[in-house]
Amino acid sequence: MTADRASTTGGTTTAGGLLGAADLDVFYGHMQALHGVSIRVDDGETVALIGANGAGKSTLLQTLAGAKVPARGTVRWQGEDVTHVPDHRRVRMGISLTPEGRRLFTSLTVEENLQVGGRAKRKGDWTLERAYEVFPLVANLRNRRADALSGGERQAVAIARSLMSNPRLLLLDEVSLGLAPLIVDQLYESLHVIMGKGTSLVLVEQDLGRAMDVCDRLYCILEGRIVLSGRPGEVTRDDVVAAYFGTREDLRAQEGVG
Amino acid sequence: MNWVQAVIQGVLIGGQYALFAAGLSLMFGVMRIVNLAHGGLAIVGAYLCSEAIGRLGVPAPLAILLALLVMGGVGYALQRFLLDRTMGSGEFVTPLVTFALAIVIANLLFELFTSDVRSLQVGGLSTASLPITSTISVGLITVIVFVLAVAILGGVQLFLNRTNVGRVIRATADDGATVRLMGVNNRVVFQAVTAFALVTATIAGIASGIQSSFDPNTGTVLLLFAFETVVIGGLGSLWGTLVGGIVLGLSQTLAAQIDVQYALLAGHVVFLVFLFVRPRGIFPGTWQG
Repeated sequence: MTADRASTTGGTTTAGGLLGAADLDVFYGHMQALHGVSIRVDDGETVALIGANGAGKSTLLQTLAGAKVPARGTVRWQGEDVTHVPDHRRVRMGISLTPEGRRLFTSLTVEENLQVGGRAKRKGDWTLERAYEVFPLVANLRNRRADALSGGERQAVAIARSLMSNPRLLLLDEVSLGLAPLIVDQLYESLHVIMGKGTSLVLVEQDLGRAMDVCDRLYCILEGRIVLSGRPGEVTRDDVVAAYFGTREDLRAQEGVG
Repeated sequence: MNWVQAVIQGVLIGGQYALFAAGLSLMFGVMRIVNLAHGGLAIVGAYLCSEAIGRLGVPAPLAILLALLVMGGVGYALQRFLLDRTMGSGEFVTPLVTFALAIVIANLLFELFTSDVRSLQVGGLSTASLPITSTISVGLITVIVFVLAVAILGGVQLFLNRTNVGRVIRATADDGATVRLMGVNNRVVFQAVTAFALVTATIAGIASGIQSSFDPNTGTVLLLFAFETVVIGGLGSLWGTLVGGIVLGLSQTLAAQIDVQYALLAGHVVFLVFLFVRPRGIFPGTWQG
């Protein structure tokens, strides 16, 4: 185990849990994006990832989803080592990623996007009807082409599309980035339905208040390292803000920042 | 009267061009691969067929079927073992690789079969004609190829628009990395598309071998026509490809009415005009019927 704060404040990082990632080192060419990152998600739990742009949140989600292969470290899913299982097979195991930038299929209609989302054919109660029920916004758009949607509409469609594979774990990148507060409220209403069904969630959220409200546990990432983790009751908002900006004394010493 | 004949011929030959171009258009649409070996591979299919008939004595229909199967397999292997590896390496790598492949194919064919011009004999198809009026008749094979082209292009377009698998292919064309997050292996889609593209190219290659003749360098000319067809028709739809083929065919046969030596030139000029005036073709868009 590394000496990261994750190991000391987050408890055991590898044993048990729905998903456990341990000591992940991830590179883009020669640039290292993650340094020994360990996180854990329990069944039914909502985990928030907090950090500045470029901190490595999206990279971590992609590694958990299998779209990025770590140079070192392991990803375990329900106890099984899935580090080298590719993304398209992890979807079938129950891990679904709503990627950064939504990435809808722009020449397809909204309904077609959802249908492609259901290709993994996992058992579960997410159907088109159910998706339209939970995301009323999406229901009204079903015959629209995906390139004719606003940002909020895109996000709603992207989340609904991910759910169509009936995931046990939903990885949500940048839930509210660039969206109007009213739309974000609607999205979170839908997310609460999803949480209520026992689906586990890992979400990247820039809105700290919202993140601390909904999550059972949070991890703060700074420059590719987990610098703080804990339950919302255990860590204060000030702790998180300090971790976000990297202004903690112990961190500054570790990073060698003047 | 000759002009009427020229129009009919132009439309019919357009079907063959469209059949050649369909695979090129599909591969570019789904994978952004510009396959410069497309024409060469079509001719390989014609040679396979010719060898099976001439050397092995296989009946023509069976020989055609065999050639289609083999070339489908070649397409699968080509995508899996060669093109897949080039796709992530920058936009110039794949055209360079397929350009090299085109040269290798032409030279291999030259080594194996010399530069002798061949044609395919399938029953009396090369000479059979279909009378339309008392004075106008067209080659039966051109009619068959045109009907095949309409059926294949229309069928593929319907398949893409109406079926679950077609929807996945369109999604893959939009964003190949993101379909993986839906549980679809985009590589398998790519392999299927390339295999299918080579099957259609082989049909066109064999048809052209029956209708006229071929030698190891014929692929280059076919590739040029296929490119012109795709550009004129627009990359958006396969119906567009059909229209593009017909426009190209018509410009050639109509110009030939004035003087036979203008035929190819007229085709190229019409292509250039489209490139300047309507560079996205008659039917721009992305796989929507």
